[in-house]
Amino acid sequence: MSETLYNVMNFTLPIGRQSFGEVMSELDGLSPFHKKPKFSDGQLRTVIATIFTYGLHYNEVSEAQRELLLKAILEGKQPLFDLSQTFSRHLMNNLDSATESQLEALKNITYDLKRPLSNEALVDFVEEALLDQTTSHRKWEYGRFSLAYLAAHFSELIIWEQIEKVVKEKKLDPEEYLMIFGKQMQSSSHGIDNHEQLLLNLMVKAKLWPKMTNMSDYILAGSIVQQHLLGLSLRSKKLAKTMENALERTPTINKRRGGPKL
Amino acid sequence: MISSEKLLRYLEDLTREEHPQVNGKEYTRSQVLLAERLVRDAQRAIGIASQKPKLSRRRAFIVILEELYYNVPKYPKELTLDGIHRRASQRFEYMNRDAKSLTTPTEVHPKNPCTFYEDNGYGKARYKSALQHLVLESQRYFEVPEAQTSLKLLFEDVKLC
Repeated sequence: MSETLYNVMNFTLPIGRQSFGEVMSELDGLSPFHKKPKFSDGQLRTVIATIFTYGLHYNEVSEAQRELLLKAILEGKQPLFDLSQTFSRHLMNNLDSATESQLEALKNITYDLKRPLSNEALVDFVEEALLDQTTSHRKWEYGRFSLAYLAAHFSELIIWEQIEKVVKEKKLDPEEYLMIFGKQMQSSSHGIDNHEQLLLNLMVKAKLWPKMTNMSDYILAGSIVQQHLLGLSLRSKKLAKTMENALERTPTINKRRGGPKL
Repeated sequence: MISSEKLLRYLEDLTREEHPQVNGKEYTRSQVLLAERLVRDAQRAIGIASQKPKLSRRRAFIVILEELYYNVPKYPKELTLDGIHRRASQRFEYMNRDAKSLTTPTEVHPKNPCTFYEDNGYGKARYKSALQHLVLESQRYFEVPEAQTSLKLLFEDVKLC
């Protein structure tokens, strides 16, 4: 059988950034005579992005907490849920034509937005056209997107340009640098989990040495983010602080290029 | 919220200089499978490998139905979707539904799809795309090799009718 080829997603196409709450208030404003409001394209994509985010991450919490998780996603309370919502919007820009017409057809159905998961047509579309792809052959693309998103998210505290400049000027050895950075994270007083250390390490590697970052690294990052996004979001300040401290304490002198060995 | 422009800049930084393995506009299924094998130990070490794989409810049902009944011409009369759901949810992770639009095994995975979808172009298109992903990624989801093969043959038929 011939080899299966997949297209790399194109992230340059524009996406909307409307929130679920904004869609709700737009639809609330309609007169009661509009019993069957048609979704606009933007509204439909926003609702789908919300269900996608729940669908990708609901099993991070126990069944009893899933309603709360859904509420947090609908109300946009956790900053990092935007990562998966944004990814799914890009995924919707990269559908084949058959799937695109399925998406188009979804505009003509009436939905109960107070209970988003009760809309079977939407949930089916999310699972069949978006989640199955994200959790299989596109997982590395989700992972790569996640690392870019997180690096941008942490840029409020970490000045990447400065570190990148030092790395280039001093031609630092990546393996040595990442090993010491990892050790610094372990000894940090903040106490972060193993999967968090691994993810931060992958993020620093991808940001500073993208040429050395491969599909396996992105798959690993993708699976960590898929299974721990809520935890990462809740602890994102702690993670940023740990990373900042560890980066500051990682020496930027190449031992192999240094002076005489003692 | 990070602006779309900033996000794109960060993403382009990764893609512009990226490793030749993932460079370009296309990638192959074998590349992905190999890359997945290479990280399995690392995933195990952080407790990720032990999770059930996610698969949409419709496709999970199709996998179970095909594995159980690939070699018979008709489903047993007493077969219900509840039984299939029980098996499917042990193997795969999918969202629970309030409503139930799928009611019989034949609706999910008909034994004669070309006849079943004769007057339902939309239904056939959806069924076809459900099959396509399962056929392309069959190694990921199937445990019975014969069912993998029979689904491939069925997909070829559905493409033609």
